[in-house]
Amino acid sequence: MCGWGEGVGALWRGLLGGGTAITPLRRFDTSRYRTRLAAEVPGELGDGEAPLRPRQRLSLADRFALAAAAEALAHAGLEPRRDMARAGVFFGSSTGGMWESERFYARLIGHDAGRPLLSWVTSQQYNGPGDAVARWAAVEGPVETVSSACTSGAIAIAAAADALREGEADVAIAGGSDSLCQLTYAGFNSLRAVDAGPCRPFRSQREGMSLGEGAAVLVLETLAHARARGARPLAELLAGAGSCDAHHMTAPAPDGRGAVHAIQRALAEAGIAADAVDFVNAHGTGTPLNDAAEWQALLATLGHRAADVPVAAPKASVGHLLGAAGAIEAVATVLCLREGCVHPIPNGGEVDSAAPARVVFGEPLHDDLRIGLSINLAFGGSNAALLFERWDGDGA
Amino acid sequence: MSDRGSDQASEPTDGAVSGVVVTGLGVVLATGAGREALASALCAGEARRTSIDTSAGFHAPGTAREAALAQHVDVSRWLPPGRARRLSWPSRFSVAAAEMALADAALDRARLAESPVAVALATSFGTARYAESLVREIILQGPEAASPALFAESVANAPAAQVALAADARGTNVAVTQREAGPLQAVLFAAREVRLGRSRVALAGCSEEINPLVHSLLGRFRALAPPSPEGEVPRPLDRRRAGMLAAEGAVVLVLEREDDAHARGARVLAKVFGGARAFDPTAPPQGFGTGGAGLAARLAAALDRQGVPLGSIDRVVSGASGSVAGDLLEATILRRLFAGTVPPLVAPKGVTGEYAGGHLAAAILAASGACAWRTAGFAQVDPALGLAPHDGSPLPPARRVLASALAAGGAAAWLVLDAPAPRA
Repeated sequence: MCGWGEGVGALWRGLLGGGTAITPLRRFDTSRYRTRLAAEVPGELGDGEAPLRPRQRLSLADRFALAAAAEALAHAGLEPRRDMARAGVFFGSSTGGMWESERFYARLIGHDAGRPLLSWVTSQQYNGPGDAVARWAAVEGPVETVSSACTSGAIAIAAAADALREGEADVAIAGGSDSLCQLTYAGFNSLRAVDAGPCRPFRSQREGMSLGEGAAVLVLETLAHARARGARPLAELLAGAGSCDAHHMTAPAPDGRGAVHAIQRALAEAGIAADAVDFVNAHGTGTPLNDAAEWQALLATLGHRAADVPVAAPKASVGHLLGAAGAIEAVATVLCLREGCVHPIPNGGEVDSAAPARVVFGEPLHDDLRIGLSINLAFGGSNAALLFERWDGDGA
Repeated sequence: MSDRGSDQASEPTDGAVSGVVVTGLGVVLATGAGREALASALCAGEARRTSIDTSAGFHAPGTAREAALAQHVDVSRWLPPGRARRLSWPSRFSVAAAEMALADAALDRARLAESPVAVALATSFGTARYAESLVREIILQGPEAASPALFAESVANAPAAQVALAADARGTNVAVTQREAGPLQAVLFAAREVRLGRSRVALAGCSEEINPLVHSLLGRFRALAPPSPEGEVPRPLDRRRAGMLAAEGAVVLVLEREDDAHARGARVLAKVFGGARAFDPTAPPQGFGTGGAGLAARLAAALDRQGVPLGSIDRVVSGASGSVAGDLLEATILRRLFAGTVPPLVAPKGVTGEYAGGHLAAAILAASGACAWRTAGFAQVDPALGLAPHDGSPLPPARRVLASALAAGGAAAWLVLDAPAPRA
């Protein structure tokens, strides 16, 4: 669920097409903001009025999460409400139902006319989307929500993998969900971290990020469980690792040291060398500081190969999904591995001379991709790295 | 997930945690700073309730007006006022509690930097005052008035990040946001980071802020004990219970590898032996469900797989808070789990209130030899629960503690804590 619409197909077509879903924002009045763009979920699901009518008590973020989870379970051949006794939900969200809470608050303080309806804030907490998925699927295993800003989705996926490896669950519905809201839109504007145009990761003229919204979900399961039910894996999650810069609340460490640590730990836990990484799905927000720090991290971890490893940055296409960014970028990474293709970064401008030399601009790059690395960096210095391997059949 | 991935954990352990101990405890709660203040309050059975500011007019008639607030607590010993002023209240509480916990653990700060320290802090409502102020600015003054300083501290992981900055903690850094189950989940998360060798030391716990908006919403959802002639008394497991007491503050534990702790001669407060998590899909978003049988079955299966005989548990530190439906669910689970014979049970939320991690701190105190407190607010057995807390009479020190936490919305978490082994 993203600015390209509903479904993995829409996402992949959008990514491959080399365009951007970052367009003028309609959800709320942007006339007093510095910037006016975002990658908004189109159609009924993106209609901010909808939860107030037929589906009260569900926030937009909840509904994005449910749509993505339903698609993921169907794709996996699993049915919600059946065989969920040993299933868990691991979700990331940075704002939960903040959009609905803002509207509640505007009425509560008398700024907007009308009675503040408690149903608007029934699901306002960070755990709203994950709980909504667990409730809908009738999951009985562990349910854990993490809210670590832009690494939330990736950390949730890593936590799900840990739970599976340790036998706490057989199946994990893992991902993230966030909706656009005024708090984050104004907040990032106040930091002057938003580009007036669509974001331009790794371009020399980049001026900041573009916000997006949506949800993405992976169904993870142990190989034994997948084999037992005859499921065909899409990819293997080799490792997930986190770290912290301990440097600054909003700026990454310039040398990318925290990201380096997360990547190195993921490589170590996967038992593979950096040479094995075939492409990188970068955090690539388009802010001057993030992209520079990320490049330093890639230089430090990939060494002499840094100039040769293809780098993608989905945020130029779908915007920054904040708590769901790590999840949708994990989905994009799996798609790249499946299709043998690195999707391009859209939007024009000169490539930053200090950026990764093989950033994929303009056209998709077809290649034999076996291992993909997805990275996220966040407010508070949190970092996460996920390593996926293409599934080439059950050779074991 | 292939077999390669399971190399790190040689056997499926179902979340079992072995070889991780608690060596430090930092507490900033309404009861005061430090675990001694909490222990005294638990022994006395006294909550410290304070009137909350209702001047904004958010509170509905007939709803609660009291909370266990902690902003009066002097934490200047652990957090200089100059630095505190730049932080949200949850970050202040967290940094102070973390510094206190590290001092309590007597860890060498220089050695601490040699290995990345993980941080996992739970929160239900985040930095509520900052987030509310920011939204208020945007609505009333326009987005151009939004303060970058407020925004930077408005994220849920701000306290965890501020702890990382204070302690130079470079391991995995997360905010666990699973409502009332969050604090125990944060401990399980951090213990896993230590057990899997990712960090030798981890800081885990909870921080919370109860501002008038959050408090008023909890009141509107009928989650809080309403005004009564005795005051807004939370009555865990009592027949007259009508809601909980909302609390703010922070609790932070220092977790480290058991062998490291022994090697440096550290005093161990408790061992994190195991834990479990489950979900009740019958729960509504802001309440508790009726799936006690399922939750009990999940817990029993997890304990069995982790090698925890039910008979080895000799103390329950219950998460019962005074919630009408929540305590009923808690009692159902415990009665089913222990086949009707529940070990001596204490419910500290009658003193600590809900949300700030006081229950977690009480569980650590229970495992480290504290007396069995009577449950504040409890007087009358509820026949519907079929469960009464311990009456406060002397008991031998607990050897194994089960701490429970049920969250509004359906999540549940349990922690198994062992008393420290006697020193050789």
